[in-house]
Amino acid sequence: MSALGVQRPSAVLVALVLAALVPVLLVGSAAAQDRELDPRVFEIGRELRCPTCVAESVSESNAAIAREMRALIQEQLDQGSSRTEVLAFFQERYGDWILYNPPMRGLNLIVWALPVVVALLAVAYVARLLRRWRAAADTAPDDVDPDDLDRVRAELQGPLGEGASR
Amino acid sequence: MLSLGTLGTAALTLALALAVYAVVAGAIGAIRRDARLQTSARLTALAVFLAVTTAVIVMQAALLTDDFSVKYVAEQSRIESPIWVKVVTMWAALEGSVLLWAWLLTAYAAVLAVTAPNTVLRPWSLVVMQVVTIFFLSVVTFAANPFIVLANPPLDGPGANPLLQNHWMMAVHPVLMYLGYVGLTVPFAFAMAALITRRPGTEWMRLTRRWTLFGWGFLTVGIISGGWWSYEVLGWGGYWAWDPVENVSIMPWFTATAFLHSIQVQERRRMLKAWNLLLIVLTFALTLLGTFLIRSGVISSVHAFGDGPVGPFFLAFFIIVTLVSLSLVVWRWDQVRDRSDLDAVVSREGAFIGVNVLFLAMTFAVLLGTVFPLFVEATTGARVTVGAPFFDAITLPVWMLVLLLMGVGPLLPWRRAETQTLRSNLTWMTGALILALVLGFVFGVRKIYPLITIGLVGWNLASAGLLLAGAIVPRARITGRSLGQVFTQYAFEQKRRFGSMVVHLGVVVIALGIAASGGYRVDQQIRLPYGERVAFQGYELQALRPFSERVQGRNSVGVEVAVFQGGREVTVLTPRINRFGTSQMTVPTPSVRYTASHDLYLALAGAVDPQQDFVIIRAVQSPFVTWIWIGGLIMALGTIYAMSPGDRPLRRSVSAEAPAGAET
Repeated sequence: MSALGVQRPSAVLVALVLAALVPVLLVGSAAAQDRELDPRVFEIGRELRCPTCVAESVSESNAAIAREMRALIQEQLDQGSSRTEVLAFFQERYGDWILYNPPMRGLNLIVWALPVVVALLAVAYVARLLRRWRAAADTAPDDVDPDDLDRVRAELQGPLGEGASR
Repeated sequence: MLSLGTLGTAALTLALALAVYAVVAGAIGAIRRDARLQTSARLTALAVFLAVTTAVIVMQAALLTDDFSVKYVAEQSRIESPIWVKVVTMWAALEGSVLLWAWLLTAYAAVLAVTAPNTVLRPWSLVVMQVVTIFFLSVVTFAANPFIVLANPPLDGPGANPLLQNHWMMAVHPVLMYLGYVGLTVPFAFAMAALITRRPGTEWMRLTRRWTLFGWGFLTVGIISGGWWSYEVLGWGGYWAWDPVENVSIMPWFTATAFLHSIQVQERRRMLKAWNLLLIVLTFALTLLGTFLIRSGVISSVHAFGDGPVGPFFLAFFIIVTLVSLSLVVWRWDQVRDRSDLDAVVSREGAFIGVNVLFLAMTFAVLLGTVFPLFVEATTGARVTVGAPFFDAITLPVWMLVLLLMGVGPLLPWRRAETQTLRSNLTWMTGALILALVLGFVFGVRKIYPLITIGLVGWNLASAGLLLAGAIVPRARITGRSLGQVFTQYAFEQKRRFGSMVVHLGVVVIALGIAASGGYRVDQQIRLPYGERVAFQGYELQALRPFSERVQGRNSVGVEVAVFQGGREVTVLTPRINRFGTSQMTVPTPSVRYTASHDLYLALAGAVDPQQDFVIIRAVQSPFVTWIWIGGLIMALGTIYAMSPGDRPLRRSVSAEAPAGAET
């Protein structure tokens, strides 16, 4: 039992979990911990939120409910369910909230689209800036950084002199 | 008798008063150009440090002597705990962490007060450091005072959070993180000073170059060590879960990394003045925002060890810092506005600007993903979850672009790339990329991101080779010395450049580790009947016997599991479940066999019951994970090398005329 979930239970969360627990506990077998679990279970579990935990997926958590859910995933896989069907099963009972990958619809569109939009705007803005700077370079006199000039002179002289002395 | 609690509060109050004096004296001294006042402020920085040091010593004394009249000790410590746990309990919970943060900050301020060169920037940067110090000291004195004296002290306490006690990394990781955060406060303070004194040139960043690297390096190592800690403690075989605490720690790292690159553009080309100022402000502000998000409890996380009433403080300070620094930038806009010119986009500065865009895009995406659930719940009441799959989907493409640019950027010269050289370099790199892709494919890598990463690893290795060859071969040819000699000289004289190459190599190694372990980790839960060998991923596992042990307040039960490979016993792993003191919380503690190609990671998934003739184990096989930690080490070494003294720009080393007869 992970005390992480127990440590700071929020009232809403507890209520939600109690409501949600019922169907799962009914289906989950009592000896859930004794099961063997496929790698696929953990892959799917990584996409599901552990309902009682603070911020852990079903695959990461050691909470009782996470174990039950892992067993349940295995059971469904054994019955021939696909990954999508298993995810849909939990989504039906808990809502979209259970999915770590927010489905692309409704409000969630914001979280998916906004980073892309902002990134594109940033690229467009920087491209404009760069164009302006390029234009500035074309009109600006071709001044050479005195440091660079020094370096070139030195590079031309130094090592060759050294080489010649050999 | 004077209690330790009273003493601690007194030391903090004194430090606070001194810090206020340092700000007032420093500011007046700077405005009036009064050298005596400035000196007084500098000396006060030392006094502030000593006062906070006293508070830290008092806290340590209280922890080590189990003085439960001190609230923090009563809440966090336990008589039975080993001494090292008691020492590090100081940063195992909120109040003590803020004390540690404040202490490190005053230490940096004191070092700065003594070592910073006497420029116009010095007085103001010290004032800014002390303002930040005042904030942290106020939090630790008023909002989260660990020294509150309990009227009825308990006989014993519960001990530190079991997850923290469970691993010695607790002694290291938080300190590294704070050293990083605080280190980045220094360039922030100098940036502010530069704005106040109307000198937003390159001086402030030149003066703080080492501090920036120092802070960035510690942040890097801190984040990676945190990953390793999760790996060793949380028992699910991973190291990064895009948990809110992880997210808020990586955001300042993103912006600091962008800053580290873009300041070079300003140093070299006098461009991006305003941008660099904004970046360092953003970096500092993000550490405050992150602390607010985590510590206020508005976002919950596995790693948020204790919250308290400090949230509003951090939020308020975040807002103040952002507003004041942005106003300063706006106020000095005429000076910081770029009047840049750019010869070509395909140039070093172009690559640096590109990498800035990428890192800022990731910062935005991660910030949005982290606060989005909060935002939705506050506005609509609906509950949404944004987790690892989202963050992976949105950042992985950007990471690929970062790796791509990392290969090209260092090869591009400033101002304008010569098309012919560039084309030849790109041909080599593309060849390496294709070769790596083919190799990856042949070895069975089919997943898209791991495959692209492998290709880009080849791309970057080729780039590093070309970079080194370009620096060494012509010099060897001209001077007629051996490649080895020239290499040694190059590495020794171009510390900054060579160090950055090493750091980039570390990034490549980490990328490989993440791609392999992220894409090809196998988790399985298996039943091990005692005495029988069970196959797992080319191994055979045999549960030998259960064991239990009790040491210094820790109760462990576990199982010895013999690991066979090719019929030969290679090791015995001991996954266990720990319990600390009277705490009911159990901590499943994995046992790992580290190898270069993959780790075998075993954790107990069920109870160890003597009545039971089997044990349920969670077995994880994770390829190349170790390379993440090794890559982190390489990055740290590269950073240390880049900041080590004696970096001589090439022009000087070459033009320095050897005295006649010196070379014999």
